This record gives sequence, C-alpha cells and structure tokens, in this order.
Amino acid sequence: MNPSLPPLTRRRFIEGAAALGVLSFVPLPLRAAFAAPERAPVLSGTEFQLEIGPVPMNVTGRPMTATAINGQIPAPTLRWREGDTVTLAVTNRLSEPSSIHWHGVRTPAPMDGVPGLSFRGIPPGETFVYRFPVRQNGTYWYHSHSGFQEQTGVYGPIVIEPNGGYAQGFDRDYVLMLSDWTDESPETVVSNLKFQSDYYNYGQRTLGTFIDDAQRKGLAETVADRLEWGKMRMSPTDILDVSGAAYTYLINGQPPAANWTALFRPGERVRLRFINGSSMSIFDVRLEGLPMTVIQADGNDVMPVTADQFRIGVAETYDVIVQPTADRAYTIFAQAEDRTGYARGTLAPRAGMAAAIPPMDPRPMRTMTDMGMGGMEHGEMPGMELSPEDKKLQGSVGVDNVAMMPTERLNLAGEGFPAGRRVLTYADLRATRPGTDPRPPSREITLHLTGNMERFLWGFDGKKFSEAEPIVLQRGERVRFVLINDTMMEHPIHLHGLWSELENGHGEYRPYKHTINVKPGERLSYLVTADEPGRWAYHCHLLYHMETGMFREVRVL
Amino acid sequence: MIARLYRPLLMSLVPLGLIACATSPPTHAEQDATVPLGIDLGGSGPVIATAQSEAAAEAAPVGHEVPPHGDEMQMAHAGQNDAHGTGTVNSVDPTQHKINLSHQPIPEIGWPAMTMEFPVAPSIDLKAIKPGTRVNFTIEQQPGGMYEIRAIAPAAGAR
Repeated sequence: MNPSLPPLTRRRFIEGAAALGVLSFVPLPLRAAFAAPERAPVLSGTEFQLEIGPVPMNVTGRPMTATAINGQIPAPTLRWREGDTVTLAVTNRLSEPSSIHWHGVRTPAPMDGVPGLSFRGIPPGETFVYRFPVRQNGTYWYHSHSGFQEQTGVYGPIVIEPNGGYAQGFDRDYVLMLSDWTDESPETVVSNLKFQSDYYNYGQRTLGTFIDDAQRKGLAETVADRLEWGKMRMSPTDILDVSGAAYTYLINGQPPAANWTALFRPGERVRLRFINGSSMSIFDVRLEGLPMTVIQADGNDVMPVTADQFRIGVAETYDVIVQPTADRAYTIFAQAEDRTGYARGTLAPRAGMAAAIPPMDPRPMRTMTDMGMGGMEHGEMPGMELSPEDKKLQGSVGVDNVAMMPTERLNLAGEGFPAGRRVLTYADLRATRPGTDPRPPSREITLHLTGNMERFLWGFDGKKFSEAEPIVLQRGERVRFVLINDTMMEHPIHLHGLWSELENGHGEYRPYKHTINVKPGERLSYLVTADEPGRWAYHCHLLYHMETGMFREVRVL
Repeated sequence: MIARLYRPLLMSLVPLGLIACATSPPTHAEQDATVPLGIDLGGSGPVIATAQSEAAAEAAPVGHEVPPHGDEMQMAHAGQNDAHGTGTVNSVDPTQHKINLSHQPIPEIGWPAMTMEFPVAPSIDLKAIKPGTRVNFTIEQQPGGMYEIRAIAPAAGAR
C-alpha cells in the first residue's frame, strides 16, 4: 500500500476531524505500561503524579505523535486550594530533557521549572518532585519550559480555589484552554520562519489590493504608503508569524469540528475560565449574542466589566461570567488575530446543539501608529531625531525598526475589530483591592522589544539572550519596567516569579498580571516588587520569539 | 412450519423497515453523543461579603434553582436595545459612515469611559458632525451584537 498520507482538504485542516477521531488518541498501550498516573481530566488534592510522554494525536486526520502529560492534551486540570502545600512528582518519559513551569504561580525560584535558571531540568526517565505552598487563588496554567514541548502538547490548566470564598457567585464553572496545533514539527516551523519570516502570511498585499487602495486613497498616498512599508522591509498584514496555514486552533484539545460543548440551564451564571495556552496565537474571543462580564485577569480579580469581546495574548487568562437566559446554543468563537482560523465551541442547554459559526472579522492591518510613528500617517517627517541610545539600537543587526513616537494605547483594544463592538481594553482592568506595595518605584528599567523580521531574530534592546547580561534587582526593591515595542508584532511579555502591576490609570488599583501583551509601537509601564529572590526568566511568550532570542534573566539578589 | 410460511412475508418487510428507518426524520438530531462535553467544576458556594461583591450580588443574585430575574448586567437590552451616552467626536469617516468618539461611562450597559468607533445609522447626516464636538448620542444593539449610533446631537453648551 502506498505509505503516503491521505490528501487533506483545506476544510478538514481548519476545522479538524470530528470528536471521535480526536478522542481516539487515548494511548491504551502507554496506559498499560506506566499505570501510575491517574488519567482523569481533573486532579484535585495536594499530591499529584504527572508523567510527560509521547502520545498518538490525530487532529486533522493525519496520525501524529504529540507530547502530553498523563496522556492528555490539554494536561489534567490541577485543582488546588489556596493555603495548601502541593507536591507534584513529574516523571519524564520522553527521550529528551523536560520540565514543568507553573505559569503565574508564585513559587520559590527552585520550583519555577526553567531549565538552566531554576534547576537543571528533568532528564529522560527521571522524576523531579516540586513542592511549594499555594499563596494565591485564580486561574493559571502549567507547561513545559523545554524545547518546543509546549507546542506539541505539554500544557494544562490550574484552578486555585480561594480559601475565603469567591467574590462573585456562579452556578457552573468551566475551563476553556485555547491552543494551536500543527502537524508540522516545531523545528520545521522555525526553519521556515528563518528562511522567510512571512512564510505563513498568505494575506500579503498584492497588485490587486494596490489598485483598490489607489482608488480609495489616491495613487500618490498609496505609493507613499507602499514605499514607507517597503523601506521598513515589513508587511502590514504580517500579524501573527504562524497562521492558520499551519495551525488548527483548539478549545480544550478539540478542533472546531468536534464542537466542544459546555452545558448550562437557562438563567444560570456560568463562569468561563479562558486560558491562552497556545505557542504563537493571539485570539479574539466572543460568545455570539451573549455579553460577558470579565471578573478576573491573569488569576487576579478585577472589578466586573462588561464586554462583547476580548483579545487574549499568549499565556494570559481571563475569567468571565455569562448568564444565558434563552434555551438556545451560543457559539464560543475565538478567532486568531490574523483571521486565518478560529477555535470554536458551544455553550448549550443540551449536548449536540450548535449555533451558527459567524464569519471572521476583517483582517487587522498594521498602521503607522503600530510602527511607532503615530501622527506620521501622511508621510510628513517633522524634524525628529532619535536619541543616541535609539541610534545605537538602529545600528544593530537584530533591529530593523525603532519606534520614533511610541504611544501608550491601553485604552484601545488594538486593530481588527469592527466598529461598534465593545472590546475589552487594558484600561478597563481595575483591581478589586489596592496593591500591597504602596511605595513609588526607586528606579526605571527601560527595555525595547526589538526584532529583525527578515532574519527572524528577536530580542530586548537588540540583543539575544545569549548576548545579554541579566537584569539585577535588589531584594525588596520597587522598580518600574518601561517597555517600548519597536516591532510591528504584539509581544506578550511574561516575568516569572514576581507580579507585574500594570500602570493603566487606576492608581493604587493597578491590575496584577503575569503576562502583559504589548501592542506594536506601544510604550507601557508596570511596577514590580522584587520580593522573591532567585533567577527568574523574563521573556516574550510567543514560543518562537523566545527561542530566537527574546528572553532575559531577571536576577533578584 | 409456521415460521417457514411467514418467512417470505418477513423477508419482504425487513427492507421496508430499513427504508422507514432511513427516511424518517431524525427526531433527536440534536442529541449527538460524540460531542466532547466540558467538565463543570461546580458552583461558587456562598460569596464573600465585601462591599464590592455585595454590589455585584445585588445586580446579579446567585440562584441555583430559580433563574434570577431582572439581571441588569446581562439583560440591559432585553426590552429596549438602546443606551445613551455623552462624548467628544474624534474623527468622522463619511466613506464608511462611522465616527470615532471618546465617550463617558454608559452605566446602562456597564461600559466604562473609552474611545471607540461606531457605525452610524444611514439616516444620519454625518456632514453635521464635526471632530471636536461634544455630543449626546443614543446607541442601539444590532442583531449581530454590534452597537450602532441611532441618534446624535451636540451636547448643551457645545460650540
């Protein structure tokens, strides 16, 4: 028989196989071989056994091998209770080193799970026992911090129950973990991106769109616009590096066609815990016809705020409450930011119901504001001079653009939203209680997020991790981090071990976050209290950006 | 013996039965057992009594059996799909018939102050709207969930 793979239709690729095919990845032989870990979708208590190993996975109809925890993608939901001390024995059954990082969970540094910084990693066949007190509550997640295992399936949700009760009432509670799956190996994806950074960008502007634009905006302006973009060697349609051309987008491991479903009874308040556990995909999430009340961001309660949609950067979490009163199904629709695909599920009173899948919104286009050139839309170049530091940056190989006029736009949701839809912004996030450290920062650390898109090199201040010194903080020090995004991509920046208190205009009610998504051409700041000593990872949570250099060590002495 | 007699009859009925099964409309088309179901982690239990949660609980009482009525947060539009705001016009886009404005909080629908774009009802003449003008406006939620400006007028004291 011909060993070649069966042809895959585009539709099958985007929507994935039906549930039956996906559920069939349950690895019975593996289960028999290492019977120890419990194969349940939710694990509660204080003692956990987790096993990272290969499993067969079939999302698109092609049988592939994934890496998973306890044979499941996503990994089991870990349910902890604030105030407990948890013990997690993690065994590596892969043929390469592995690790688990508890994303957003404040642990002592040796328990943080970053090979090379917190510990040496977990060699094949060995078990590492994590043990730490749980001092917080909320929605978080865990994932491998080794190689590309995060892309191939090693991620799962964490739900920590508050010891003092919830601030908001709800009748049902579901986790929705969004992720991106590719049949290509992550090594192939990186090599494609290094070869041509817009390899997966099929929406590039063509002669046809040039003519359209010229008719709409006038020839001169269109030519000027194209020249400006050309000079910067970038394409305004390059929104996400890896698109639906490679990815099938999943909710709790299920492709759109499988229609993952959460049940409700009309009138109930339903808590939905959204976790973006993908490697490279930023999603725009909405429930068609049902407004959401956002009650938590990155595990920390915020004042309830109503929105029709929110944009969730990689590694962020948002908890919302919805209250469907009608006896009907609602589509849970999570479009990839570049509109090349979507994850889809359903909120329904009965299993098997489905609502219409809405068309995707128009693809966002980067503007000159995104390029850090706000106010320069019409090509005039005021007598603007880069600072000496910026000039130095501009001369670096790793930097192909420096934002000359970065703007803070926390009150804007970003590009790609139709007018009239209420989209959550960072400025909407207001903590429910004042911050714990009222001290003003004693110093500012300014970092540029930089990249050379053509070479697919990413870094802070034009330097890759291997070229940079750690950022050193004194124990107990209060500092302000200022980030300036010189690139035209969003970067969800994650600081391990310490909270990032976003300065978004709410005074002492700053939201505490672990991951902050910085828009293109944006300048924003957040406060950090260095209250946990050790070596902490600080990086862009787009996996391939981290792997190609956008990573620093923050060392708290 | 009797069985043998009836056999031809049975044989002729079986295909009829099959056809009937195949053509009868599926009475439970919705009941698709293969749909993966989410695991409900359960209700919140009693909420903690803080000033904020009390305010929130007032707006949306917790109820396990009785669906709460009059939940303003979710159902502000159940009857009347419109809300009223005040803001300043930032820009006007006549080609797409939309305007960008910075509005003050709209408590009717739980919106904080923000800057956003709105499509404008076709009947409204955009020429009368100038950037920088302070306006009162009414928005109405459309079937797709989007809000459209249905009425707009300069606010009192505007230039």
